[in-house]
Amino acid sequence: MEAIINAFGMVMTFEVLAVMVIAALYGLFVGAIPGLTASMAVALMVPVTFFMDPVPAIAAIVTMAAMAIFSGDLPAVYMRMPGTPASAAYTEPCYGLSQRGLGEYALSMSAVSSAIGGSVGVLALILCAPFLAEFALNFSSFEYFWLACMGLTAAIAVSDSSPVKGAVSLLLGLLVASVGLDPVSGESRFTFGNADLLGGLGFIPVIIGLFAVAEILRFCTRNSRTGNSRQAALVPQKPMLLQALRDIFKYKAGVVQGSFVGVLVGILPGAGADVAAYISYAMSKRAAAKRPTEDEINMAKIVPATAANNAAVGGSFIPATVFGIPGDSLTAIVIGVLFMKGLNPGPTIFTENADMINAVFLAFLLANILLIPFGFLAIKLFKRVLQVPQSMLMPVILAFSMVGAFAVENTLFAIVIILAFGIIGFFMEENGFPLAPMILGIVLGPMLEETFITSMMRAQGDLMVFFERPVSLALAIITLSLWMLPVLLRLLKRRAGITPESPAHRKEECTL
Amino acid sequence: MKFSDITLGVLFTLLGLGVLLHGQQMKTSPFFQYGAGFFPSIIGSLLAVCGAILLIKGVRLALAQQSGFWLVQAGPWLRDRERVVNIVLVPLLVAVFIAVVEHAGFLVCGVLLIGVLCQRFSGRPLLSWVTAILVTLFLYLFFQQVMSVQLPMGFLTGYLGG
Repeated sequence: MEAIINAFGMVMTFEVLAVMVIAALYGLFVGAIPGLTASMAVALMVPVTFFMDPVPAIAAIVTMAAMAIFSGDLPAVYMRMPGTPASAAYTEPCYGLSQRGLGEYALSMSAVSSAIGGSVGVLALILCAPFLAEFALNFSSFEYFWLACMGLTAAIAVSDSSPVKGAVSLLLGLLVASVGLDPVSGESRFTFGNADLLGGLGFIPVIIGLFAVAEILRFCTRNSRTGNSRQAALVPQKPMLLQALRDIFKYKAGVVQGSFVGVLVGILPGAGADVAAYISYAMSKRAAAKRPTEDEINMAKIVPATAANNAAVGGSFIPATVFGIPGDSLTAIVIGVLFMKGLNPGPTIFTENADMINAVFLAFLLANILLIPFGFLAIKLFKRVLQVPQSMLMPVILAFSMVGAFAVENTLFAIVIILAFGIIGFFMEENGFPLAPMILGIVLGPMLEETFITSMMRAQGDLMVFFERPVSLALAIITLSLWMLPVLLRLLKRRAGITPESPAHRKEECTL
Repeated sequence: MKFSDITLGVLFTLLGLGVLLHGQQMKTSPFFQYGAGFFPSIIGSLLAVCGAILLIKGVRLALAQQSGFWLVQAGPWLRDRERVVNIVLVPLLVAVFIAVVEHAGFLVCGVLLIGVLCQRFSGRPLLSWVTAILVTLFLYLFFQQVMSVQLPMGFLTGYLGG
């Protein structure tokens, strides 16, 4: 208790609070710009935090990350461009709502559910960290392999296009992830003698290309020379900030589900906010279908996913602080900052620096609570961006994307990547290939390969070893069930006399 | 521009087989049971299978609809010269930016890239070039001065750093 009181005193200082406010505004700004991700913003912020004390430094990073992940929803809702990968899972339904004037409502609900999800994530971090981290520590490569498979299956499940096209998109993502040095043997692959490809295709330039540049190309196909389209601005948005505060209770089950999925997924290494959002979105699809109206169905899918991606940030800090294992790229940077500040992550951090680590956790909790007022402010201010005609906004976004990609990779080759993947993304969408499975394939590819090869080596080629450990067996059963379910449903329907071409079948397939 | 399932099926089958072939040719280290090509070979095989499924679906659909086989369909934007120019201009300008930015510098290239595209898309020259100058200055101040990203400054390096 004394540690908590001391921690409270360390957070409630002018310096920490001022840094948090500036970091919040920076996070909201960066997250709202497509192509600029929370990881990139944190990476760029590290040199600034070098000159700060440990508590304001970490407080700045966690505040910025929470705000950036929320504000990634802003361009997703209004412009169909997820500001961060964590918003990619539910971009389509959000954009659909904004086209019917419900963008502000969707965002307000997202701010409230993000705040709740984020707070649940931090509370889990404070209360359950040692127990849950111990559980995750017992995982071997077999469990991680099945977890990666589950995440990838979820990627196909969230896409509304045909499963074959979803699978192709996923395999293309895995292929992109395998470019560069082989993580096990260190041999170069698919580099074709190009030294720039040795480090692989940078994740951030690839997603900037797939989402931002492809969207700019799509804009070109929609508008001719004098196309002063204000597509998003033309749709009047109903002021519904306060209604969202009331309506959030309608989706309380979804918020709880999303928060817990987010925490659990966040704890697992390799699976961060984006994977949590995908899994939570896929899980809520069936329950959402029972809602009476289309808008409520969409909200019932969006709310858990937005709670999950913020809860995952808290969740990912559990193995990061207790065992020094990063859950994603964001926590990897935070671990680096903790080391830089002399706070070595590990079990001893809770005994040697209890006040300090509790102050960091408290600042994290405060950042999530601040998300509601700052989120509402961002929703109101972001609409001003929409006053700018898209014919002016698109070239500006292109310039931001190019400089953003260059800033992360520090090479002009990053701009080549965003251009190439912009064209690939454009053609994929033109032909009905979903982008989400490709993104998840790129994120989980290295983990899938590493765990698969390590497991195969340990099992000496015997596939049955993948099912021997109890947790591994449970995860395998869940994953294989997810793979077999559509096939079994199709067989059952065929036996019941419903032909695959019938409309009833198509509707069922869409809800899967 | 839409490609039929037949075209896509052939494309991904060939890509999958290409990846499989390339994976098979990768060196296997004597210290590891599974070489660098093992995992890409699995991806290539699965991609080829998905391509074959798409191809079969495409052929079955064409036979069922009796509308004949088609490979590519031009989208409506391909029939509008203005839109074709727009869509070609974006990658072209980005390519020119990459080629000349180290000599001409980010400030000049940034203004030209944003200005030309804004004017092309909006048809409002004054607003376009004011936007281009302000946005480029903001990017320079935010990334180079605040975030310490070393943007290429070309002939202005001596004056502005980078």
